[in-house]
Amino acid sequence: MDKFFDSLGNWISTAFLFPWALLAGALLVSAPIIIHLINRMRFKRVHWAAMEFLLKAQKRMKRKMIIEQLLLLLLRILLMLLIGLLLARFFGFDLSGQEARSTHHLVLIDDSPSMADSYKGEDGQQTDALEQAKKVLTDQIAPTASQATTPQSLEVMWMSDPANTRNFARLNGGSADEMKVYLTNYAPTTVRTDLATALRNAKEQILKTGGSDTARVLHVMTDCRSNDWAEHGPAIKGVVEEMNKAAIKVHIIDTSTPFRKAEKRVPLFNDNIAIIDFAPSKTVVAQYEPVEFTLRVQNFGTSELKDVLFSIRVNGDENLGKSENIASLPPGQIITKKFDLTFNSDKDFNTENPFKRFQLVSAVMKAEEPGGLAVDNSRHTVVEVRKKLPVLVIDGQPSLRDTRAGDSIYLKGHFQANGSGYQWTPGTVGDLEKGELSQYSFILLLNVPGVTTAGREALEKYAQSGGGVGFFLGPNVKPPDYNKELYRDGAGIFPVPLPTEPSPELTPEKIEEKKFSIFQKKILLRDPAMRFHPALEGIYINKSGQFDPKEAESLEKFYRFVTIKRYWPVKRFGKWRDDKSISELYCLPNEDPRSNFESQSLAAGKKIEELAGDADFAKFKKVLTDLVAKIRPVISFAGDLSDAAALFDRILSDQTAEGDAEEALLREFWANPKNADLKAELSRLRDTMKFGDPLYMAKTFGRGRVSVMFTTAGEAWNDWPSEKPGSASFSPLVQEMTKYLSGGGSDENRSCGDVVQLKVDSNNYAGKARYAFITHDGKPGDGRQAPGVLVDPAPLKVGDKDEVLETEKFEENIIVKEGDKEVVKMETRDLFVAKIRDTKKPGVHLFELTQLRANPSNPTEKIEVKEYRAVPVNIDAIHEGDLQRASSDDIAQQSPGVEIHAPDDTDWIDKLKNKKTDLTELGWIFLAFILVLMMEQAMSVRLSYHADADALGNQSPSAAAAMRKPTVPQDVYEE
Amino acid sequence: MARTDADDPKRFFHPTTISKITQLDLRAKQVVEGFLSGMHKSPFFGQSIEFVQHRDYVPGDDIRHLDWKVWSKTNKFYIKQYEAETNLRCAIVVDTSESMVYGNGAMNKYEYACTGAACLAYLVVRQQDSAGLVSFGWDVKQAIPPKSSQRQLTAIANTLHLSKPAQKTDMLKSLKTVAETMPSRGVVIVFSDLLTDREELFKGLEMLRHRKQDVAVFHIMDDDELTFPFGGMTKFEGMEELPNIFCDPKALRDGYLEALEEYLVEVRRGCSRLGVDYNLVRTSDYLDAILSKFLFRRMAERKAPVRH
Repeated sequence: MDKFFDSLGNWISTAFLFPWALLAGALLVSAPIIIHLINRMRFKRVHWAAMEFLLKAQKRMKRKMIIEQLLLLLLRILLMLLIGLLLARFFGFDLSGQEARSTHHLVLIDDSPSMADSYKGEDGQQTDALEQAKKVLTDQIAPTASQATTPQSLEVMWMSDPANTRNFARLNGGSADEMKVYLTNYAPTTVRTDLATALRNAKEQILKTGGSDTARVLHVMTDCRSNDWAEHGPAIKGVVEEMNKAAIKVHIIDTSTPFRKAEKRVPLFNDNIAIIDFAPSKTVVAQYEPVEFTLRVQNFGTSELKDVLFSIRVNGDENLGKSENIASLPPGQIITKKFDLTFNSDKDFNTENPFKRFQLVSAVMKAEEPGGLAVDNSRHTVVEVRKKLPVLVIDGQPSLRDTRAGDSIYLKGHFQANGSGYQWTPGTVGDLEKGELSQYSFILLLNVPGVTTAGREALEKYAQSGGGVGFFLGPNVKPPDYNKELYRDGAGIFPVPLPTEPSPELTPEKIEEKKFSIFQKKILLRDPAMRFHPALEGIYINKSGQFDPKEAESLEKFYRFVTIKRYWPVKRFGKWRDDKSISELYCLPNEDPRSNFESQSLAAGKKIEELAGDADFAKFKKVLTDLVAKIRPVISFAGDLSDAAALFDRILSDQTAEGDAEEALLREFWANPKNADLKAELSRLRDTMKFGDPLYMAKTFGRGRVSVMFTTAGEAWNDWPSEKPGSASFSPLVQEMTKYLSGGGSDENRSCGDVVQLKVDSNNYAGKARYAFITHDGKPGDGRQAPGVLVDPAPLKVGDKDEVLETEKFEENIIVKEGDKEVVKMETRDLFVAKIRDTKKPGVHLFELTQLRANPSNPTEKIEVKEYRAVPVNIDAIHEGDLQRASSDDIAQQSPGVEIHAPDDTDWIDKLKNKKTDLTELGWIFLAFILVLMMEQAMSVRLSYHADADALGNQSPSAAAAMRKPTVPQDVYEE
Repeated sequence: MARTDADDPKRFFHPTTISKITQLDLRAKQVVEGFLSGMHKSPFFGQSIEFVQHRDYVPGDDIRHLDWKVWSKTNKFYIKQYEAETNLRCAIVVDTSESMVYGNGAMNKYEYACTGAACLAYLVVRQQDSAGLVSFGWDVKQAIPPKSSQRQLTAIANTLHLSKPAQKTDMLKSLKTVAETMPSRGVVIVFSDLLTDREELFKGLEMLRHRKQDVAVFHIMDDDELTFPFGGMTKFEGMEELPNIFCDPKALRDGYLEALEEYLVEVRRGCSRLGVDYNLVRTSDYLDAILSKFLFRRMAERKAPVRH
């Protein structure tokens, strides 16, 4: 009961501005009753003669009288109630949106690049979403909030810089002007912050101000791009729900154009073209070596663009770069453009100055974009140009190094060819332990029996940080060593566990037979998707980023002439199959007898026939029955499985490209969802028939890359590099492999605003660094978005002094030998962290780190060697370039309880006045009051005496006549 | 209208009223017929000096009225007819029941009735006709037979003064007594609020009319009774043994007026059916005007031959 009264008390104190007036109102309500009672007590006495009529009247009027009197009483009570409510300033039963406490507003402004989405405003001036947001703040929110009855404070927070908020402690009439001055310093930045994180920051910030006696309102000024909501929807929902719980009122103001309208669920958006990716195939290149760059441009708009010209500039100089034209840019599509650039250090660059070895390569869209964002029309990357790129080659048989029996001779030829840019550095397994591996572009291990633990550690660390490690196996390989140190049950750099034995040696007859079965490719692409793998890309994909069957076939045809005699047969099962970092690129054909698959093939054929019998598939029937008819003769014929696999390839038509009408028909047949089960079954059968053991695998390891060829690099186990015409395909493959291995570490796409940091081991590095920054946008780098016009690159400024690096503790499990046992121990080491926090400006950050190396002449002494790294930073064009806007439904769904407004929607602004809209502000209450008053008056007039002759006449004409008759007849005197 | 001293019986001879109706009397003389004998011609043939005509004798005629002079000349019997002198006998009947006490204006109903009665009596006596008075309540309280002496006026005034309104009204009983005691062909003027049983009232009036009485009724009502202007909680205490009512009069007004109208209509119709001269009078009316109007109307209604 007490609880009930407590809650009632609370309700009253919140629902009324003057709760005490409510008490008065309650008393007032009883006034008519009291008056009635008093009247009863204070009656008049009349000694009445005409009682007869009164008695009759009473008899007749009793019921009517009671009802009318009660009605009048009720009206009067109602009148008093209304007066009471008005005096007590009743807020109504819905108390949401009304606030009596002081209010703290946090305005979270999205200053991500997409807020620069520009358009012509009403005044004809070019404006953008951020300007619109400022306008809403200074013209709508601030003036309205400053009118509020309770104290209001307003804090402005930028999404890109949540730490630096500006608090306008007490809003007043001048606050808006103050804000205007403050806001002029801000423009869209290059930093993308995801909305969920920004909201979380805002939530934390808003909760810092005030206590339970403060109402909190969060205004989020954003452009509501669908990217933000699609990707972070659940996270946003989570934060919003937390804020709802914390009683933070959230308004989202969509400031992008055209303004969001309630009736239009999905608002329109402006067109935009963005360079979403620009990267070299490898980051460290040799001079004169052609480096392939990939430029990816996406048209986020809804109309096609033609002849879009891009200028590729090296250090801002187009003469050193080139021009690239994209003939057609269809809406919504990504167009990939690949091209080569060659860096001539002798002429243009100073390879001696380590910092100057880094070349800033920028792609800039030349064509003027009609609208959209300017900032995503340029993108930077960096390559380090060295005179030569050292490659460490560890030969398992150093004694046979330069002989044909050895492993390296054919590879060496490839690396030493003119213009390869690689510097062949022979080494031994021991070099892995002692040498600093990071200087090498990549490392090749040819037929190496195994590595030591220390060597393995060094190798892993090297690969982790972006190095490439290529394996060619061979007879010397010791599977236990590989499995233990390199495979490490999946944790090491080697992708698969090796079997105990290599494949059996073939008899000369068998070899001859293989050599002459030239109708079948001896090396098969394991999966059509692998054509796009970076280790094979160059073979299959043309400069436009498209698969080119002709170009592919021109190389693949040589695979018919390659004879792989022996290899390490890796079983195609085990957990490596589920490891996404491992790709099986090439494999050998299945050489089992056809009879193994006879029954399965025939059963499959039967199923196809059954399916083809379906009336829906009448048009496919002939083709299918023809093909199925071929299964029996093919499968019963003695020989390898290639023909049978080819037949199933033909039936499935998913890996062939004959380009005839029949193929198209078959594809159509299998595209039908009804046939999906059989298709999957047939694909499995075909794969087992077609593909034998893996031959070539790739794995990504940390930032680095690993490739494994399960046969030798020399001619010991195959004739690939040596025997023509098959050898013609060896060199392109190796070229792709080197490109792949040296291309590690470049895949990192850092976005503006991310903290760029490098962590190095304190054992190997000195705790100091120097930094430099190169970019192409000339404006001073304060993170503000330049209007898209590029000027000459800023001169490279290298930090004058070494800066002391931050230290971070790092815990690592290491295995220590204690006697015979191996014990795992936790060791804490220091890591030096070279960190650049301010990465708002697109460009390239350069680091000079100091390595500590053992002095070869004096192993106890360490010498300092400078090491350089470069990290390009660009805007997150994939997310920011897409100006598509989230539908109102999605926003509403993912942010429950949040109101979405457009800048031209001013209705909600009035709520900020925080004046509780009590009944006195509603017209209808007065109308009701007047109505009740009128009814009461009418009723009381009706029920009371008024000397109205008409009324008397209506009721008693005789009496009225008596009253009216002239008391003095005039005619008496006239005569 | 200043109220006269409440203890003076002569207060009922209201000077203004009397002066007004005295003028009227004069006029009445000129107009042929009125109350006073000798001043007007009576439509009845009687003992008088004013000869009107001869007619043939028929057996049974009083031989005293034979014109012997004509017989002597013509040997035929003619009867001499004279215009009868109207020696008016006017009985003024005043209701002295309790209900007559009510009055909110300058005079209550009773006083108004008394004044009216006294003034008419004065008029009658002044014209040498006889005026009598009957006051009644439950029964006839006082009855002064009609006389034309000047003292009669004093007697009437004293009687009215001494009668105190009390008791219920019993109209039938009272009118019956009047009818029985008054000689026929007189004039009976009733001053009453008629708050009584209508059946009895009409029976009484009918009885009077039956005896060829010329009956006029002054139905005196107070303004309050006609308009019921009360507001606020009121306790109406019933007169004449009627119960009390505690009510909000505003609420009852409509019903009251309705009931009043029914009553008035009933009374008016009843009177007109019986050939009773009915006058609804309210106490705020100027009495002189009421009486003048009454007299005028009577003069107009009596369509007797006019002699100028």
